Amino acid sequence: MRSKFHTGIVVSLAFLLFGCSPALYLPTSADAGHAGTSVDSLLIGREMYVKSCGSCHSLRQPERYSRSIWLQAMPKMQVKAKISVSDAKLITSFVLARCKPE
Amino acid sequence: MIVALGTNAQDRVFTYTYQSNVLNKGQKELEVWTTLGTVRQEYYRGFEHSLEFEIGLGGKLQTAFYLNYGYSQGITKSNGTDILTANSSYSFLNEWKLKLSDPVADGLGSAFYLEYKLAPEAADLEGKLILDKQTGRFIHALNLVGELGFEKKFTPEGNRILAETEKELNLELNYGFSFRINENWFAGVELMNENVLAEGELQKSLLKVGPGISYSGQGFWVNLTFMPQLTDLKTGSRSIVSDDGLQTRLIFSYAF
Repeated sequence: MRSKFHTGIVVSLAFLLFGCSPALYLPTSADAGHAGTSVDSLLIGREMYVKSCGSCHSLRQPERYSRSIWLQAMPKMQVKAKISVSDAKLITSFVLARCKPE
Repeated sequence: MIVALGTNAQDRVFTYTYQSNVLNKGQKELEVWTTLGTVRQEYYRGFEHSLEFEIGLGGKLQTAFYLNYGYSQGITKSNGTDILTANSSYSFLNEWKLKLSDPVADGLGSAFYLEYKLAPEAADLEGKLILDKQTGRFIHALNLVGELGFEKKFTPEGNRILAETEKELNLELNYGFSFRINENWFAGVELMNENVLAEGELQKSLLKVGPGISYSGQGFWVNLTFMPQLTDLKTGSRSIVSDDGLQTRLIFSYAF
């Protein structure tokens, strides 16, 4: 029984440690082309998204919501989290570059 | 959908297992914990309640204060005579959590956790390493926990009462796995292995596994987990004389 339990623990640890790529996408040139902006701009948007949104709640993956959902949510969250207009634009570009198709 | 995206609280989906997320600076949560302990010998039933006030301090740090109250009733034996015994307990607890990495933005979410608990007859110090990961609809969380407890035992001797301090080390491992059903509901499993060491020896190694559900809405969440004890790994059978055969825990949280 004890060895089975320890095996289970090792499997769980392996699951956690070997699946260590970030769930939040890292922008590529294809994303930049799709969003009509630069990779650097998307990277800054990602950083702002993690900093401004991730400190309040679990970060949502951009692929989880459609463009219209993101565009409805962003103004409300911008006010709530006191995000500047310029930062909100960067964050919006980042999430829309990989949003769920409508 | 928008409501769920924009205003969900801290997104905690487990009751026994902690996740790495912390509240933002100035954000506050009030949590009400209730744990029902049953399936022991001799008609035992016990409740543990906690009222927790949690606040984000910024810099990925949060603190919380708990007021704990517990009461139980069951039959105990003394010199062959059954006695109906009722117990109650009170304690104060303060926790600190520092988030080190994020479960979505980084490869692995992590946090350090430290708490101390003070009661009239006991004091505890507990540290946790929290690891978690979110991928798509799945959340995994793993906690490595060490707890050092000191308890005063009072025994009458003649016309005096003697006090003796007992020291106990508790090493615990918690693992939680949860699946997002939709924007509001999560369902999953929690596993706990609780090892108690006293006087240099392993006293027990309880293994508990049970299902849990979580619902989060506008500014609040509710988590419920059933945690049956499967076995004591030290003896190979369940320990239900001084430990619960089944614990049921409900946490309700309101963010403001």
